[in-house]
Amino acid sequence: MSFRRCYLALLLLWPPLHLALSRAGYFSAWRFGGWGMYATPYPTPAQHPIAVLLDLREQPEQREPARRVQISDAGADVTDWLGRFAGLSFYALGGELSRIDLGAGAANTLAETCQAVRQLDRERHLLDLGRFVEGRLEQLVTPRHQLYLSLGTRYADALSGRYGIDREVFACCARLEHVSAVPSVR
Amino acid sequence: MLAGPLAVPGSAAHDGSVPAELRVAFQRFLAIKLFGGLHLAWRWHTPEGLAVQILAAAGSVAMCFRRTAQLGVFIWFNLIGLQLVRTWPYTLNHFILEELILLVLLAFPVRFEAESGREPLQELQLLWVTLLSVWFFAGVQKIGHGHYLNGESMALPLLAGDGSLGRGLRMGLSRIHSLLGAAQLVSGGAALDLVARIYCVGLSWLVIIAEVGLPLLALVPRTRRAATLGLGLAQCSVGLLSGEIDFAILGLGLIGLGSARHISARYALLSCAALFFALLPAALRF
Repeated sequence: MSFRRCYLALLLLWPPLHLALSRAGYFSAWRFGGWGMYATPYPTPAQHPIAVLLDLREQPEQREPARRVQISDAGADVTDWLGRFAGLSFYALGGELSRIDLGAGAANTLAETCQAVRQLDRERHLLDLGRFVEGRLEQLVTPRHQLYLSLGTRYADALSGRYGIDREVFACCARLEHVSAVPSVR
Repeated sequence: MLAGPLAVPGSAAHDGSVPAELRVAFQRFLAIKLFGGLHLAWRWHTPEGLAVQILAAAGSVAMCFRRTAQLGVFIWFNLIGLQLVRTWPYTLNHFILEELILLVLLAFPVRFEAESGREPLQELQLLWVTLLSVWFFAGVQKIGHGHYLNGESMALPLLAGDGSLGRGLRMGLSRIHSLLGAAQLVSGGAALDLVARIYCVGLSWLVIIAEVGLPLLALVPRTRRAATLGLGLAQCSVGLLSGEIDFAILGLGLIGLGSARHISARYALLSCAALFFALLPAALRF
């Protein structure tokens, strides 16, 4: 009988507590048995791409398009792998940089951190990701630069790009999630 | 015999035969469902994956027979526990739900005959309450997070979804647009956008109302059977619309556990759902 009571108490008490905690941003609604599956969009890499932008411009006011930077892990090109499995892309503005070797094991660390960014305390993990990249860049003696990070959804692009619908028409879809005070790549 | 709000629908037999037979059917259904899920989730071409697959197959087979059922439940309890540890802290709620169901099956030793002094329904009641809790709190979470309240949940796949849900929603909206356009009820972009908004918000709210309301109605004796049938049908429709076939088959199992009038019908429904689950991995490979 005690098992039964404890079990019923767990079923009744944990989900409301889970709701309060997941709303406060401690963890995803999809985790830890609060039955909040589909209550928030599933945080897949495709839906929530993460971009790292290296601004190498000497004159920040100069406008130019961002270009994709190739990422290597101990010599192996992992750009596509990171894009597909971690939803992570590197871009550069200005300068001559077109390829960065972040060192052995960097790809796995980046993928795990990106997963954490989408699941848990987003702002903190996004800053962790930034610090990790910055640390590797310091070792590579990268020229003076500014580093920007962005977490977003592709739905807003899909609105205007695929269906030709103004983003303002469906305000509820334009749910872009950016870290505060960090500009978006797009 | 337990009665009242937590009773499993249709569980009026006095000799214990209903829960005994239902337990067998439910356990076989769960065994095949678990094996199908893990088979897809855990690749077998590594030594570790192969070992897990073999253990999972042994556990599922054991769960289907009365003498070895408890051993099978024990094997599966450990396998899902391993999955919880492997994926922590990113463990999906589905694994936690499966582990809870296995915990209930483990906590009550397998007995297929009614015993004096023992309430034969207590285990099925707990499983039943677990399912109702999942439905109810899934609805509460949808209200709490707001993703469904503003229609975003339907608007996102409607506008950018490549899956069957997105295609189905776009087809439904275009039908409504053409019907309203033919009747000259709306004209101009703004009015059509308003219709699309109402469409998305209406569907989202319908999901919330079903998830919160039907489990509550299932606690009322007079509406229990109808509410259970509604839950099962809702789960089947959502699963089929969204392309998540295993979700729809779970709906069949839910109807089987709760709503059919005769024990043979429930047994047949659970067996059908189990058969679908057994064939699903093979079907997905082609």
